[in-house]
Amino acid sequence: MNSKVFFGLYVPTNSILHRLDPRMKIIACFWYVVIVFLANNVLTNVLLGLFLLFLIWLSKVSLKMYWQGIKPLMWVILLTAAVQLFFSTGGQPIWQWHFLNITSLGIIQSIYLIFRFAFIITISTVLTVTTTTLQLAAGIESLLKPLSYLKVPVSQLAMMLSIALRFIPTIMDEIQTIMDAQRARGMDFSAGNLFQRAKRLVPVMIPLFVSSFKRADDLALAMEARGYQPGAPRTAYRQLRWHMNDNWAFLTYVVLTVALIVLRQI
Amino acid sequence: MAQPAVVFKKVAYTYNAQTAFSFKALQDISAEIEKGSLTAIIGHTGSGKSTLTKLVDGLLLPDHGSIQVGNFNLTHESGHDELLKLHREVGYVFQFPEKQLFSDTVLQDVEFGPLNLGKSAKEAKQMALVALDTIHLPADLYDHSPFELSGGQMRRVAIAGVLAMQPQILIMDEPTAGLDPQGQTEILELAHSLHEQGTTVILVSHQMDQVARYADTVLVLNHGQLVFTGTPRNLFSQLQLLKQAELEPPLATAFAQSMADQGWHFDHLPLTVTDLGNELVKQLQKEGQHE
Repeated sequence: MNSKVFFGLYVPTNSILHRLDPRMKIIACFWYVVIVFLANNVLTNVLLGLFLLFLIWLSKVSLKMYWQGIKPLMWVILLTAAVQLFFSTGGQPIWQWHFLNITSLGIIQSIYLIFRFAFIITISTVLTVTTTTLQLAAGIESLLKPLSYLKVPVSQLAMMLSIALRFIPTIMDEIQTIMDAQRARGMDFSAGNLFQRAKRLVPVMIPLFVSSFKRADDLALAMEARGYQPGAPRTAYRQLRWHMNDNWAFLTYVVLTVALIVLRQI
Repeated sequence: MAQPAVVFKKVAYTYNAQTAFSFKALQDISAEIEKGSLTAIIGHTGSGKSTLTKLVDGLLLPDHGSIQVGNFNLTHESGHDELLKLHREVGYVFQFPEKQLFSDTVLQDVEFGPLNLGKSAKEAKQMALVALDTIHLPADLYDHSPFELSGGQMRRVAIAGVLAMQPQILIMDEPTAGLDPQGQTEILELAHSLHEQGTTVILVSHQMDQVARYADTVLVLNHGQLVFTGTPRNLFSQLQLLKQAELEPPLATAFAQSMADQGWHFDHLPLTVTDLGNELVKQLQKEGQHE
């Protein structure tokens, strides 16, 4: 049960963002990631940041949840920023040592890079905390529908995706239980060097694989018993409906993009 | 009164504290579990039974209060090394313990615990053989893969994996779930014989018939609070309390209750079918004398 709270978990606060059409939210998330790369100065970055804060406020989910999303990736972000900082050229040189040098431009760019990472991670978190996995899968299926004319098995892919997403918490629970059981049998996960620690994963991974295969088998049987046929046309219990709010959300994005392009020129 | 094996002092535990998902699993639990007893912990789903037993084995640490287990005093500050030592004293059989099997052979799997305790290969093997003997597994299966066994055999091998560590306190979390009646009896008889050899057994159960038959003490949890401590006989005579905790009396007790409603009188409330049979024989003999 401990493991149930993790990065990007759906939080049911029923905010206005929760009620948006998942298709709108998926497009919005992608589009935001694209326009993050348009930001090239202070104003554009501030605009994107404020917009993100606005979304976070709308989502009624505490800032802490979002911070938990960024925290584990902090080292990757900082490392990338450091590479950018030491190896970029251009602008005024400030410090130099052999092949490493820091320039004024490098400092600015690495700061932008940190923001870019944080924005992208946070906007994806906004998507996943406000959208259930079933809605996500339904949205993706609907968006990929045109591909089915090219004989791409879209609904099967969506089914696979929704099953995979659905079982993440279950499997994390399972890992916790197996680790507890092995700890109760005297296993110490934290002692020893890297190799010894890796070896210690065996008593966790094998039971996990065994139960995952068994679960997959059971699930396949249950699906067949309920008449699931791959490729057969399926209807959905909850139809996706495009509401007025989705239009407003779309309009907001158009305005944001135009504002960004204008501010870029300054 | 015998020395207690486990003492809970004002224990509280909350899952996912300080998040949107925080859940108060246990609140203000104070209780004692006697050394050498067979104590049942019962309550409906989500009442905190498993949380309580995980606290005894230090798999979770209490947010408030403390738990005395043997020489260990567990609080939210207890350290890693202390907990490692605690696992030597306490054996924990999880729900569906066959899920923890992983080795190539049955024997290797049972040796895993003793080896973790730092025993030599020879000692570990000896301890594993003793444990496998306790669960009555045919010796020709020792070098088979645990995944080739039947469900009931896998369950018993997994239990042997815990017994091999020779714990003072044995926790069994719903050890009979999903087994056929014979498999259930085997496991419970095993728990009972360990109890008779002096091990403190803590049994988490949903089945009141098992509790009535085997336990000498019962703790009842309801929504994270301790609502009853005492003997099964005392518990099952309190219908109101059972109802509040969303529990059913054992079959024989329920049967006797409905007979009592029809005007029969029982000197002792029967808890098991044998009890009920004895009581009925007494009643019928009385009837015979009247006529």
